[in-house]
Amino acid sequence: MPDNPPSQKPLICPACFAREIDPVFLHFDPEDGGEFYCTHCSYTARDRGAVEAFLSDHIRHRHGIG
Amino acid sequence: MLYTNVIHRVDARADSRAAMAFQWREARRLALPTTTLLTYPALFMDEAIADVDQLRGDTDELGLHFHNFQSPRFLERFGTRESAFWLLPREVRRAFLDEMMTAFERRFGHLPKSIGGYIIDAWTLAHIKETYPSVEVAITSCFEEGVKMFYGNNRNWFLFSDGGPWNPYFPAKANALIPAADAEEAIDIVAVPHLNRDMIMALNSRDDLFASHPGNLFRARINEGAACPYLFRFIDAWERQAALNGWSYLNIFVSSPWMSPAHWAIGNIDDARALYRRMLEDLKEREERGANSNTTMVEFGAAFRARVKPGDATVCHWKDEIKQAKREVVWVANSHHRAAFDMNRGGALVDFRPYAGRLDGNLGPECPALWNGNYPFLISTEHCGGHWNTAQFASVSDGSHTFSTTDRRTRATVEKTENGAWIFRTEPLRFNLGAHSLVLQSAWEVSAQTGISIRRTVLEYSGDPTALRLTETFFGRPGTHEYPGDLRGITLWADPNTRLPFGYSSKEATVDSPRAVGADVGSLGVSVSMEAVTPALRGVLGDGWLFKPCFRLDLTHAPEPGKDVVTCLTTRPLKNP
Repeated sequence: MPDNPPSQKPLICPACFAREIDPVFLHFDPEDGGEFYCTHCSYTARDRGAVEAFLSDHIRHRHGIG
Repeated sequence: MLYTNVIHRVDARADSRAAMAFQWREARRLALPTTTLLTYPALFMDEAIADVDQLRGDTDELGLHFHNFQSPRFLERFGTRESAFWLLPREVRRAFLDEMMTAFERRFGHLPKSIGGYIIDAWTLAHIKETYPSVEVAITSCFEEGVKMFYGNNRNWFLFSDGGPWNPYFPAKANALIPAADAEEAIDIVAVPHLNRDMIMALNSRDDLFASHPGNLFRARINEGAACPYLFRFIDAWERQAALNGWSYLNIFVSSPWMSPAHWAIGNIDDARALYRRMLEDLKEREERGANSNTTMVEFGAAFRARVKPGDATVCHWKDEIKQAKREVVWVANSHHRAAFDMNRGGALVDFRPYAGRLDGNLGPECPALWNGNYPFLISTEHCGGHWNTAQFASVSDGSHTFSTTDRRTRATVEKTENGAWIFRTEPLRFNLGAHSLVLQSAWEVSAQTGISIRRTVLEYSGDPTALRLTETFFGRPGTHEYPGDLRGITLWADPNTRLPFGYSSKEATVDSPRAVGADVGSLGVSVSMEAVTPALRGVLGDGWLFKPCFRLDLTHAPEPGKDVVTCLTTRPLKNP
């Protein structure tokens, strides 16, 4: 299968977001336990929650919180 | 064999000299040889020379370093506030070199064999070799620090030498970033890099932060206290490169300010020094089990000359040592090109610097390039916004559905062949074409020659194979940074007789059964082509447009399952550029 994001909404790469690069969607590689990865930078994550937490931190920071 | 080379720099400030004493004592405790390079202010400072006399051991080599020279003495003598050696006016550079060489000989009784700078251009290297033939080896560039570190340093760091090799090589007289094709073209100095770099971060981020430099690892915050497992994985990775090339070189150059408590990037100096100490112990342990040889610069230079001749190629197969995830890249450099293939994009060629034009890369106020020493790319996925703007890859269609090799992440295997080339292959990758599935494997053969042989093999297909079309695509845009230059003047062509001048028209020209498709790029002095080793059905030449300033070359084949489709990516000097 192609390394497309799974059927849920595509995840934005949080590392690219932090560098203020317009949304770059993570790919998903199902092999070796599954991994989200970015082809723009080298960001990788094992689970969706880690990606969302990273992104959420940056969004809070953008709003001056945390 | 991995050759490891611990290098120190003697600076004049008191805190730096104290840090230098720590570095030197630690190396001597472990009986590790060092190369110690003196800066201009230190060379004329009696206290610094007294440190050298007191701390130097029998296996420590002394040489000169051309950074950190700005000082009251320099300003008084040369009258310029220029702070980068490689940007000094040539007359100043000559006089500065003469003064340093003379002072070194007066201090130590002989001229140096090893020298170093962040950039040393071809004019300067040739001048040094002619005037001071004792010099055998030089640190000549900071691999891929240019554009990305310029941004990382808040647009203050004018050090641009992107596009050269990462490994030691014999620099060409025309441009010090180009590996010479033969002894006649070579400046007879072995060029070594300033630090080894993380070869994935070298493509897309700050490779100064992820390098053979414990201080910079602190700056990158990849340490936890004094612990930094990444550093030792990084050294392992360079040890593995020796299996591909027969040798490998690790340049560990930590200038003394990085081991000083005063350095802005170092939070806890005890942790930083503990990591430095642990790294030296690791180098010693490796040597005791026969994994490496701890050398000076000049010792490495001699070993390199015995193993490598001008014109030889080198490869690097690098895996993600930061996150230890699946990403891999393969690099190759020879006298014709430097190329990087990203397995995260199915093996796409993502950075390509053709050297056929032998462009002038000399720097300084007298030179057209001024400060921009980057050797131009024809492909840079990083600087041009993605593989859909510049890259070389393939796509497969059944007439209704299409996939690209860039859709899949893969691993690579790299093997050396009996004739001195290397073949690297992706895994067999399964793709969907509508209801059918197809397994495709890609392989590349690289060597000291100009051609890169690209093989695509359909291993399985569950549909009608006569409907399949495989297209090799080359998207190109010459440049040295993100902003596109003027692409007018490029001529796209198909062999035998089709021409399409680049004019931002978005026009396409389709050609039946071309022997090759190519582009003549005058600004690079190079003609690049994809040659149809396996006969092609069709070729397409694609002009760009202002919002997508790149050219496109396509070669389309009818692949037969089990048979290779072979294309040769070639560059040649452009006649009358």
